[in-house]
Amino acid sequence: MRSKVSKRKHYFSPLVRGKETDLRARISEALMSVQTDVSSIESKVSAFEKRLEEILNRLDDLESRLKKLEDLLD
Amino acid sequence: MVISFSIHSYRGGTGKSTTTANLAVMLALYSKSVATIDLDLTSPGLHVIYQVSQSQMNATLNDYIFGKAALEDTVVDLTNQLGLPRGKLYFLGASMKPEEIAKLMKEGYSESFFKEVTKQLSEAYGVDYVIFDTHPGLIEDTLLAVLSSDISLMLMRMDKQDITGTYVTAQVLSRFGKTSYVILNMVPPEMADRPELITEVSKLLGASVIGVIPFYPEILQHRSRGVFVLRHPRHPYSRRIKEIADFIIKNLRG
Repeated sequence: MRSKVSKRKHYFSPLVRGKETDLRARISEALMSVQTDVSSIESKVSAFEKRLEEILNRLDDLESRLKKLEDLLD
Repeated sequence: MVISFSIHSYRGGTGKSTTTANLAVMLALYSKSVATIDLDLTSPGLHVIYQVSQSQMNATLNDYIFGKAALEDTVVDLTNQLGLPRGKLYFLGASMKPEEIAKLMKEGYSESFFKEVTKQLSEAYGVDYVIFDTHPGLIEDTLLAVLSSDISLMLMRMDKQDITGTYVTAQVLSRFGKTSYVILNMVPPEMADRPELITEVSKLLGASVIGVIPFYPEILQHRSRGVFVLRHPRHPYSRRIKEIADFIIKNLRG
């Protein structure tokens, strides 16, 4: 059973920034202070892509073996 | 208890709005009450998928954010319009007017917006889920949406640029201790059902993969003309979206 919903109109008050936890400032600070090691990121992503390619190659190999087996059985 | 989600991607064109609209409808079909908020404020597009005209909106999200309009005047109830047999679906659309977009970009909005709009939607409409469709990229407003919502869903395509950007985003979010979940979209079909894919992506990003959606040309052909899962409920895409909705309902709590 859903609880009763309120009938009064709801407004957002945009001027309560004093009460905020200043998440926006922390995000800004985090973005500015990130020490991005581009080469490390690139090598991680490349290694990831290589692993995926290997998986696909294994799949292709498996499929071609299966096809050969089917041909032999035929 | 209401749960808020942000749906985010590093790049544009990853299918964020399409996923948001279809996932929201699927959750509604589970008899849930769902509100979707178009927070892609510089290029709103969710209304196109829902086929909501700007004239249908008494007020826009921009008006609500600036305190000029009540939530009740901003919300569009799509339940009947979309012919949903059960559940409820609400939509809060952003303004398409350049002057209003520019004002919001210039003045920004309070970080309390996310908690407040979620709370008010729960009070006024009894919603179970609030989904924020965010602007792509690693920008302050978007990260604010991601960090302010209960659950972060990152959408990623399997191309190098998106993988790299999503990895960097995950690194930034980890500095805030934010738990994110990943949905892989437009995945090459030969790769989509490989269990190793989920393992490798989870390992790279340090986040659980909760959905893998292969590339279906039918989604492109559909081109935002309505909500795909409603028009093609038996299509494999709809099945994938259903699996994600199942996971959310069973496993994710605020």
